[in-house]
Amino acid sequence: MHIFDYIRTGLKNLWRQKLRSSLTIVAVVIGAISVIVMVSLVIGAKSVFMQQLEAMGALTQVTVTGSSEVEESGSNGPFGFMEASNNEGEGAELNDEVVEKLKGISHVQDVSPAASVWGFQSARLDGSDKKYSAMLVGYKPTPAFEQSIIAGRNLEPGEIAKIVIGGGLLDSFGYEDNPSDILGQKVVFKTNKGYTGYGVDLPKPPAGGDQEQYWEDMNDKTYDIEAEIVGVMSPGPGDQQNFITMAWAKQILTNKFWKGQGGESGYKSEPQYELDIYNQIKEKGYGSIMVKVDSTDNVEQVASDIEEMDLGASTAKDFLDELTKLLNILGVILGAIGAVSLAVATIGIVNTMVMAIYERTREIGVMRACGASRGVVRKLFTLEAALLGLLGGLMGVAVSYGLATVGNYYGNQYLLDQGMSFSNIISLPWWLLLGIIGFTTLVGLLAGLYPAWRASRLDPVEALRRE
Amino acid sequence: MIQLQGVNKVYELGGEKIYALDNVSLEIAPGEFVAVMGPSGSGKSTLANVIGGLDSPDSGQITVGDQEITKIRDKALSTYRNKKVGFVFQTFNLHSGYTALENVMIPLVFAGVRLGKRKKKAQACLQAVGLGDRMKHKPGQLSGGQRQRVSIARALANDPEIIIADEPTGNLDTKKGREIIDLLKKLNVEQGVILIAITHDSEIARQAGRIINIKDGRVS
Ligand SMILES: Nc1ncnc2c1ncn2[C@@H]1O[C@H](COP(=O)(O)OP(=O)(O)OP(=O)(O)O)[C@@H](O)[C@H]1O
Ligand SMILES: [Mg+2]
Repeated sequence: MHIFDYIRTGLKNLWRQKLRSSLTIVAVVIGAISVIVMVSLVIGAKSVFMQQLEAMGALTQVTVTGSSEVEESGSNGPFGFMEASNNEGEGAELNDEVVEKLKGISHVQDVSPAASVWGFQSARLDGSDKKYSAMLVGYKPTPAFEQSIIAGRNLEPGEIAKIVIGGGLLDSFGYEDNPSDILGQKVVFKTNKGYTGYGVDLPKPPAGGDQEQYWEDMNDKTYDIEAEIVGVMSPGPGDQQNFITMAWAKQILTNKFWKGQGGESGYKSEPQYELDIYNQIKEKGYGSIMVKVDSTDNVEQVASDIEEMDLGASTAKDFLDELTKLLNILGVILGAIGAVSLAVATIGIVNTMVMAIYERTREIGVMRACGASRGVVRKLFTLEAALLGLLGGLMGVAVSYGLATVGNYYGNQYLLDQGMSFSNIISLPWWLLLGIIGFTTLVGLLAGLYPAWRASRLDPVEALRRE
Repeated sequence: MIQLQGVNKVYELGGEKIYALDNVSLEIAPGEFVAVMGPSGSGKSTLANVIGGLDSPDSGQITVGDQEITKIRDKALSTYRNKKVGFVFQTFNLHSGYTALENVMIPLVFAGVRLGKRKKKAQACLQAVGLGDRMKHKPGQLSGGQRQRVSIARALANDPEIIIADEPTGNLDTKKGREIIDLLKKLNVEQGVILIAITHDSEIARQAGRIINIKDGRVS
């Protein structure tokens, strides 16, 4: 008997029991879909994260923090550099000397300090009254640290009163649909009370007179600091940050005050005031330092070199490892769900085949009388079961493909609405689809072995006598 | 040439031994038409089935041509049934979901005959039994006599040497039964096929060249 005839006969027999066959196939389809959905979700989630990290340049970046003991490595994730840590005093100080040392490590492309800029209580768009809170980070915008931008440009080193805003602020200002229109407009930051940094012309304390009033006024005073929007960052994780140059951050974080001099009691002279400054960064160091590595392969090496300098180093890999662990657990759980539904489908196939053999006992007798050996009968029924698996797998793949297309269509629209650039979250690699078809076919075949074996052992004479 | 030598088939039911075949020895020559007669339960079907390779005896030898079919295993025995034997049953045993043509093609499928050749051969067989105009009909759309003709066509498909007909007229009225016997006899005469027909009808048996009488598994 030719293989083609086996298939033809198998399909014919399945067709004869349309309802039962389709119900059995539906069970396989559901099993196949669940496995496909599970696996592709895990793959998709991983690739989306990777795309994001890649877009952010986070994969080739090491974030250096004060001391390896202070902060658990990786706790900030790959975006840690943006949440420039505000640890005061603890650990080694992150100053320019450290920056220079980091530059000396091999495979390091560039180094940029980062500092959170505190001291502003709110931000609003010039011409509007709505106030928002905004996270502000200063960094050195060299080419190595270029951010991915959806509108405008990156900052130039040394630029003052210019800002690149993130997706968070863009949304707040209501420009998420037309980010380029916000370029050139001004963000107005309102300072905390008693701010004396950039943009403040500190009046000299009055000679004599009501000094108390002067200090009270000073402590109550707030200022408006303007920054021109030159760029908008691509949305994604960490888009709550807004960026300014380190040069400007330093100015903002430098407090001015009038220092009294002289005023010795012996003389009747007024105290002499001199303008002094307190540079927070110089005194306390940078919040963190970003280190750009020439390639992802060397990130590990650079991170361990940095840790040897008794500094904390966190990389995206730490985060990726966590993510992978999480996704693997998710994959196992979801895979188990898929396995259960496939197991149910398997039982369905066994049941269908046992029923079919019971009903077709007489037919088996006729086949034997017409010259079918036990082997032929066994192969016929095994193949019939395998066909159930194959059809279920094929349909499962087709339905999954449809679902993925629809899902990606809406997913892409949603992401587009969010301003995100990547597409097709649900990815169905060919190996997965082929693998599923192969797997369900194998499952069907295995499920058919026992019923087929029973069919082949039937005594033909008794089978023919069956009513 | 069919030879049986001391063939036994015993069933044990509740400690009691039932001899379906009791030391049966006989010969059937090529081209012979033998009728097998005997009371119900005497072992007629058992005899037919062991000769046809559908059942195997507990002991004894059966030789068909130069092949000792009591010695060969399932696969070779299946080939023997497929190529050398054609069965015709009282209840027709047609595949209700298949057309007449497809039913006749079944033995050809197991013989590994390709589709095109298979169809031609099956059509020729149906024509030979006078059903050239009923090929696309399913058994449910055929009369009893026509159904039995389809099963005869199926038995003929691989040009067998032996046709074993177990009460082929049992489910037909006398007139239709006669037609079927005439058809079988014609095949026996024209094609030289050995025809072994089990029957209760002495009218039919009289047409045979020889009558084998069987009682309690013993051939007299
Ligand atoms: N599977 C079996 N188990 C037990 N006894 C059996 C079995 N098959 C047949 N027999 C017995 O063997 C004997 C011969 O049976 P067989 O079918 O050959 O009779 P038969 O002559 O064809 O009868 P009928 O004319 O009614 O068809 C009977 O007594 C029957 O009861
Ligand atoms: Mg009988």
